[in-house]
Amino acid sequence: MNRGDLFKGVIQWEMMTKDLSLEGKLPVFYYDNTSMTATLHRLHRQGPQSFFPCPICTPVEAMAGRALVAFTAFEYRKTDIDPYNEFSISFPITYPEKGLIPGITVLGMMAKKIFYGIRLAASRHDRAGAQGRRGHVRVSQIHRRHQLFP
Amino acid sequence: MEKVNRFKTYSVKDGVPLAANVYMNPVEFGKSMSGKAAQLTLGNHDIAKKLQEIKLSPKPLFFQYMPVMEAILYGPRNLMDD
Repeated sequence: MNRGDLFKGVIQWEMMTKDLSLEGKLPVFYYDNTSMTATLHRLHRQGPQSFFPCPICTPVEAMAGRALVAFTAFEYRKTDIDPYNEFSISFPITYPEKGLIPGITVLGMMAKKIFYGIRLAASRHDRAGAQGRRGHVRVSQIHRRHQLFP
Repeated sequence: MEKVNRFKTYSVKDGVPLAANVYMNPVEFGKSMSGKAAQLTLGNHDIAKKLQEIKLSPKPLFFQYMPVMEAILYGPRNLMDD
């Protein structure tokens, strides 16, 4: 998809907080951004459960005893809510009923192009904080769209 | 060429579970499985100390870089309406 095509045909609405201190648009457009993600593994499967809001969330293992964690840095240079930066720590997870086989589970997610994860993010921007996104926890499900090839 | 990705996010605000979609278009994209592609340095923040306890690998398994990407963040809605 060429630059700018993502926004074509998407209607935005003007929004404002109740105290009229902040205004913006929904959906929010991010026109010019950079991100980088490094995925590491942890030597122990146990550990970051304290980060998880859900006790049945199970970290996905790339190899036996080695779960994954992804670090991402975002630079939002031009957005509808002014520029800001964000950093997130994500833990790919699965659920007990889906089963967990080291390596196989994550390969299955890659094949389906669907990932589940717990994401801890912190953004450095007052406007982003006012919209409730500073220091938040998100559980994310990721899909790939417009699959033209496997 | 990487395709548009959809992130379906779930948050909780004021005790209400919320769902929201983020669509991301990687205009420029690169990836590497080289262990030298990235380096993580932990400081003395409380979260960094927690990360030190889980003994992260010294090198990344995978690195992904999008020097240019664009995205749309849709407003949240009650998860009941998802």
